[in-house]
Amino acid sequence: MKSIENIKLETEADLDFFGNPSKIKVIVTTNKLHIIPEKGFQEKISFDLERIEGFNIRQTVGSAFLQLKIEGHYIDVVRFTNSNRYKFSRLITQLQNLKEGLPVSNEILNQPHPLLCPKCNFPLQTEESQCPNCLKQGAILSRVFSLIYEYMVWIFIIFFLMIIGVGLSLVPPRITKILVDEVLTTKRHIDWLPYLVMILIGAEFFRAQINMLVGTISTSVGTLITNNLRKKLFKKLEELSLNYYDINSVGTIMTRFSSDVEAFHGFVTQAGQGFLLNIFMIIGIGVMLFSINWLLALYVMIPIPFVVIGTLIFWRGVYPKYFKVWDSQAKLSTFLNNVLSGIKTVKSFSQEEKEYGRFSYYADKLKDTVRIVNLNISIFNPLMSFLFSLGGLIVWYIGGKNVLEGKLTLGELMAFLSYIGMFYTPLTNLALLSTWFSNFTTASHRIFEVLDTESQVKEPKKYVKLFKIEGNIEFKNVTFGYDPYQPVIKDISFKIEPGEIVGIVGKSGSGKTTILNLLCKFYDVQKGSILIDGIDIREIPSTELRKHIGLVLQEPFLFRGTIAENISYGKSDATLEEIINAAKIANAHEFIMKMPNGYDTLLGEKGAGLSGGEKQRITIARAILCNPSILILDEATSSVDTESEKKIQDALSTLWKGRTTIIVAHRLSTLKDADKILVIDNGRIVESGNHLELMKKKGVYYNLIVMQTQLASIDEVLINE
Amino acid sequence: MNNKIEYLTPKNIKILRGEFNTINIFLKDGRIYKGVVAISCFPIREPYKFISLFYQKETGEIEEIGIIKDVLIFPEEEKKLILETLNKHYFSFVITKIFDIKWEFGFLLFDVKTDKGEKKFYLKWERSRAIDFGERGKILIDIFEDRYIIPDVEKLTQFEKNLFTKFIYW
Repeated sequence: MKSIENIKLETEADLDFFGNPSKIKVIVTTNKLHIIPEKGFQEKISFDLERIEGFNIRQTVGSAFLQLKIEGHYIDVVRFTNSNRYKFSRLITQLQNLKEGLPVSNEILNQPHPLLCPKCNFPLQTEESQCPNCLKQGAILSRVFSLIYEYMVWIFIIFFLMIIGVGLSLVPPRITKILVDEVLTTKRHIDWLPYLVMILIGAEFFRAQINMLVGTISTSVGTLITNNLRKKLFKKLEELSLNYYDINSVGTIMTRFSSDVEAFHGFVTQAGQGFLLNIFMIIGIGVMLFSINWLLALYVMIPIPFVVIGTLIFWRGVYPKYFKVWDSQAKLSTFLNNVLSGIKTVKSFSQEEKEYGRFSYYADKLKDTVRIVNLNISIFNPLMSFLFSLGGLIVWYIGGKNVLEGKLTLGELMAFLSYIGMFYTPLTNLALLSTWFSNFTTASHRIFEVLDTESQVKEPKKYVKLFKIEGNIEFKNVTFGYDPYQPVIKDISFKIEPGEIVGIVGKSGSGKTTILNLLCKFYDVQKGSILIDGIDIREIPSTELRKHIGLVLQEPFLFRGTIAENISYGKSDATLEEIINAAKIANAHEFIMKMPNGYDTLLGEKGAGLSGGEKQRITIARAILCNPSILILDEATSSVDTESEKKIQDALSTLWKGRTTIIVAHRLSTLKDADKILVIDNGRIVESGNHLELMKKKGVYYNLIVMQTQLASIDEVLINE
Repeated sequence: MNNKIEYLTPKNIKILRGEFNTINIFLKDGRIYKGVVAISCFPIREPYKFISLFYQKETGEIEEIGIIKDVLIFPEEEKKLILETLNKHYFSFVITKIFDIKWEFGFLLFDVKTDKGEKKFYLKWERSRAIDFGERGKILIDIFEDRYIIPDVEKLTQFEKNLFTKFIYW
């Protein structure tokens, strides 16, 4: 191959055109772009840079193509897997620079993928995350320890009390030995009988007291820890961006709050009252057994390796099955949540039978998974008990022989058997440790998964307080996609002056609501920036930004609570007068006063009991009360009847006076008085201007207006008929 | 886009190979489209039926030309071109053997054999990264959005199935 000179850029793709793994070199010189396959079916090809009118990446499913625009057509020239996507995005920027005569850098193409740790190549949660591998974090138990750290004083008190309790429980068998050997069989110290009985009563009494104390403290500490954990979880969920909720269903998240946190609680309580106590008991009793007769004590240890190995095998087998139980529970609750909230639709389409079938499927799945776990447990536990009882039988046989041969006193055998009774009970309980532990680690995994999830919307390191904003908005070359490889908003730029009313129109899915989502910082832009009063919103904390934005959505959402509470949701310190005033402006006062309890009327789930228009007017009152500098109305009137729409329109026209207002409207008549209208199509602004200007243009906006007018005339004709 | 399905059949279109491995479509009514893209309406259930043909406008956006109901009714050469174009739209590694899966700090490290050779990849251990593929399969989407398909989980060996369902239990 003839060597290529003046190489400016050089990189490599990993697929040929037909999707076969291959090495395809892309070499760019000052005037040519060469595609050179090392192997595969693709042919070598070169293009004059002058002939190339543009560059593009065509994303397909699972791979992408580098495209060149030649003679008005985009052609695919190189195919690569998504792992090379970043490299080729950078190549396009460099190619554009080269075409424009700007400096280019080949090093930028070879920089490591931003989703990999530059030190160890381990994947990162997001581009800005710290590398978990370098931090050496993640061990569940150390994470649990960090959660219980602040309660360490109480945990030490529990430890101390437990040791005393264990010491006290070791006393009775020792006393029994003395009682049998010194009082009952040899009758050497008959006068000791009442004292020995008193010691037994004392030991039992104090042991009971200590157990009560340990139980009370560990339950309180356990409840405190889990309460703290629930609050942390909720705080985290509030912080997470909407991407998280796009992916995870409400049912799954609810399960984390209920059963996962409960499993955590169960473990913490059990750790205090159950297995830690059992471990202390086993150590204490072990010491006692060896001090009485070390050889006999060794016989008692025979079943222990079997128990340990059995437990380990069981744990490994049962651990993944717990995942399935949890998954089935989550799926069932997600299904129920879904169907019950849409029960009206189910009934209206007469789909009760079908839904019953689907419910049965999920319920049966849960039944099967629970049955399998319980089946495993019900086989495992009796097997363990049988192994333990073997140890007792050994003591009866060998210890009995020793007593008959005079090598062991009867009192010692009695004490030994008492200790064994106490030794095997905690061991049987410890066998259940695997059950608690698997439950606990499964739950912890899922809880830490939420706690470790990083919000896709990055908050600024420095907290900036916004006291007042003018309402100047600027979108500068903004690109965004819910899937980063498939942008919904493409290189959009526009400016809104303070106090302007701006309408956004376009077909469904054109990207109108996405623009609003970005302005509210529900998602971060992927390219470009959004400025409010000249400040990049990435430098403003989300909570601070949203204090100045009033948002009225298409689907009004009301919480369970009184009407007054719902109106004052964004301003909890609002006076009653302010609440009434806001309702009046929103044209809601009249219908609220028709209700027997007025503003104190308790609303049901999602505002049940109110019409769509009434709910919307309450949300408008809610926005009015916050007195936002920027008002966003996302199809606020599209789901209500004409009469309600009129009332809402009146309310809104009062509301947007003196504020920067952005209106996304389906009914274009709403936007006639807007200062500016942006027409969006396929993620780009295709037209902008006021109503008259756009009508004169006879473009997309004009066509939309004509279409709506025609529909309205059909309605009119139908009414007249 | 028209709201009525425009079916494309051998009677109303002619498909020819264009420059740079593209396909060109010539409609009976005189319309010509160059650099046509094929996308399946049901890529999992019926990948070779209801194939939608698109063309890329000068702006880079795509617009539908029409739908091929069944590719089998086309002459062999045209069928080959349609399928070639369709396959260009989908790319995935088909997992044929699982050697190992390890959990590392919230990621699963898969060591597998695929139809395109042995691969190691990281998957975020999240439900959204392992989604259903048909009735019994799973699509795994790695940290770079590359796709790995297990066509039928039930057909894995017992060892592979245990290993897989230990982590991907949903």
